[in-house]
Amino acid sequence: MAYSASRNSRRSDARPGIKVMAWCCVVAVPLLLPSIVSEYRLFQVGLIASTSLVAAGLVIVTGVAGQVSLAQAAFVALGAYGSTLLAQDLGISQWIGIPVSAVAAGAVGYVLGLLTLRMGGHYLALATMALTAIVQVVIVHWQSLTNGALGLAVMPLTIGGKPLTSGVALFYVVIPVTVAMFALAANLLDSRVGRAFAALRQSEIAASTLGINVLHYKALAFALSAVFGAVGGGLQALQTTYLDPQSFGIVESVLFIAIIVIGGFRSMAGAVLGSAVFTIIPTMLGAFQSYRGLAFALLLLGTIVLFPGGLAGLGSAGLAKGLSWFEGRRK
Amino acid sequence: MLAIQVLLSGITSGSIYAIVALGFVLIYKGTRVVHFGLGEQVTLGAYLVIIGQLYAGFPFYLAVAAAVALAGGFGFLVERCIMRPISYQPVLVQIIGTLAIGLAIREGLRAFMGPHGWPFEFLLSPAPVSVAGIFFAWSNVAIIAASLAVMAASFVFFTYSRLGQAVLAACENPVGAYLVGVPVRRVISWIWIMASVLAALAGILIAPIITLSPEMGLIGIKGFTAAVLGGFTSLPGAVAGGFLLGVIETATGTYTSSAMKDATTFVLLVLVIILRPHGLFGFAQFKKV
Amino acid sequence: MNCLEVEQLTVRFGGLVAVDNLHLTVQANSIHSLIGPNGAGKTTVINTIAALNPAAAGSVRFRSKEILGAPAHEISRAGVGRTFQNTELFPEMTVLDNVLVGAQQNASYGWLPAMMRTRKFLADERTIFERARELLDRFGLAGDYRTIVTNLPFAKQRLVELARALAGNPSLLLLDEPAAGLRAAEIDELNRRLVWLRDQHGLTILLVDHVMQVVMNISDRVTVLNFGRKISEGTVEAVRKDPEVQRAYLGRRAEHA
Repeated sequence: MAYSASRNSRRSDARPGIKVMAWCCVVAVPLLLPSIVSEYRLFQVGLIASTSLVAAGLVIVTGVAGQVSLAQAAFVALGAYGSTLLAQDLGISQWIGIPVSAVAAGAVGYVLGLLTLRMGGHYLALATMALTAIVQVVIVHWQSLTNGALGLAVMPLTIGGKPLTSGVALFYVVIPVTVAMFALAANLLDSRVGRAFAALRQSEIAASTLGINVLHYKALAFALSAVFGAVGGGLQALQTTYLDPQSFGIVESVLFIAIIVIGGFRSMAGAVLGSAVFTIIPTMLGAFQSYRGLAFALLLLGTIVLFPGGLAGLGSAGLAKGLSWFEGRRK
Repeated sequence: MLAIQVLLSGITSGSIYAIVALGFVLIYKGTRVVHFGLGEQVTLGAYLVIIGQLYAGFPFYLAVAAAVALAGGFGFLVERCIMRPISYQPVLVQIIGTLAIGLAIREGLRAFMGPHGWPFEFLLSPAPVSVAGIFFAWSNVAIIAASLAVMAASFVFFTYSRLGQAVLAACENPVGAYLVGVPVRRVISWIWIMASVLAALAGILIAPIITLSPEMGLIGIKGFTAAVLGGFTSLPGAVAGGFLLGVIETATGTYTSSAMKDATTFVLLVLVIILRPHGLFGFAQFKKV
Repeated sequence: MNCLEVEQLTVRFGGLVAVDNLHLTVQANSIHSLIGPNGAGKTTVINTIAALNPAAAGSVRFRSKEILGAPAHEISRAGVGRTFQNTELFPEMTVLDNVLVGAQQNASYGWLPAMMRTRKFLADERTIFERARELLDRFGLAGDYRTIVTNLPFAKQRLVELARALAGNPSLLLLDEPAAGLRAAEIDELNRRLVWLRDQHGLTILLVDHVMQVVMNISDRVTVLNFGRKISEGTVEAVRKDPEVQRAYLGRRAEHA
């Protein structure tokens, strides 16, 4: 996996965050025309966006900082249930509720990250799995709060008293938030923080002798993954309008890992690519709907064994291959 | 009296956890990778029996034999086609690989056999029988007996057979074993076959007690916790951990609430992980710089 | 002034005593070499000073401040840089990125300014980049900014690691076998560089090595270890003539230079 976390090699004061935003807007513009694009398509794109936010968080902590995290489903749950319950029980609109839940999730993430003092690798995978399981168990059994296994209906987002429920309306909420957060993430990775994440992944020993407080940075990576996961979860709750505890388990955490592996482990673009594949596969399968999980799992296995760089890696590797072929022909 | 009841029940489930734990420790000792998909292989074992009965019309015991054999073959293929090619990648990738294997098994079962539960035959009658005021079921006895038989067979295998010795040698010191002529690669294949067989047996033993469904794989976490309790470096430790977990879990479920029972495993796990000393797992080998 | 004072340092690995009651003083603005047969504990000393090993007993004072027991990243921030026996470069990063990581420890902006691209962030990044480029240009690596470090020849990798260690502006440099794997001409260049660092930049250097072409030519003082204990110390000439040292190296040719 040959990506460097930063693209600093080009210019020191590049503003890749703005570039990312510009790119996304360019891509999104054609979709803004509702006459061309159906409501269903808008909804799909919105789902891809919220999923890719969750995946982006995982790219930060697992792809760049190298810390295996199977806790993403837990953070998604915190964002989804948090914002929904705040709206339902305390009348706090999701406009505020989602950021608040995200900050709370971030705090949990930071504490989880501190646990890495004691463990890495397999143990960390297990501890993060345990967090997901515990959160799910709490949700299922705290029925008075969460309605337990029956699930929870999500109150719609309102603006000035008017509920936003149509695909178009949610699209206009989800896409800008996603683009903005991706820009922030890209900025972060292209800074000393991002370099520190990549450094501690590649050599903790060297990183610590270069002034990097490895424990703090690992915890920070987890906190950021939690924030992204929670925001993604909150947005997704608005899109799916119903929360089922079954969808916040260890399997879902594994699916998020699968998404970033398929899309490309270390890049933000990979988060989007993987989410797109994940969201679109069911529609591609048509009649074979029930096989979508298997198809995705096999795709994951194939990627791990054959294309460790994922789709994003294929892109740059393909480009390199194409270039060298071209060079060969010129001789 | 209740205590003995709890003990009996705990030993029943604990014996199965012990078998799964054995599988985890075997693979870890041999390859330094935790097979996070082993829980799904437990599910697979039980399903293979159902498939044998349904689609091949096998009687129960023939289906069991076929299932165990197929499970072993499956383990061999997984090692050859997936784990070996990625054995040179960083540990993170290998962890994800085992997770992916588990995901594929689970989704495959869900696709081909449906997401609902399947009924599974008991080895012996599940009806409670009372002896001196204690209730137990003959099926429990069957499970414990079968589990003990499996563990005894494993013990005999490792102590007295050449292949078993080779496995232990390769686990302790792969380079040394290689130098004295142990075919380490082949041994690793056998390790995977054995672990898969153990997982399948565990699945067949536990399927009657819990609902057989693609979600059953979470028993893997219990097996893993058992292995962790036992120190994760020894096979007898895994067995001990299994029994310990079974009893603690049942006791918690009986004396507090069933909700807590679910959480027991995870809480135990977190406690052990946080409290255990650094480095016993071997991941923090002293890197010579 | 003494840059580094090591007193009664004892390091144990299980039952093995790797460093035994070591007293070592490194004067500021000097090049001090630590030599000894294999297994003498030299790398262990360096690792312990840099907080990669715990010590069983003793004290280490850097510029009169006790650093034993402090975490590695704090020691680095205090002004101690180091290189490694087998180069611990960041294998997937470019040359420039590696050195940037070294240079960035003196910047202070956090994750929020980074996300928001504040003015402080931009100013700090500019400084970091300038420092990194300055060092790389000085070491003749200007053409290799974007090369992935593992694609470089070994001698250049060593240079990158040295640049990275210097990027944080340390006052003490710990070098673990800086000459291993280098050819004679490259060793000469290394010697010139280290002397230049001492003279032009007032750096203090504590180095560990077996290669006598380095030790004998540029050391101001030499300390000899054997089995974790100091057996001799002094100028190059004094140590060379010490019969203790010759006994320790019995059977090995100690002088190449």
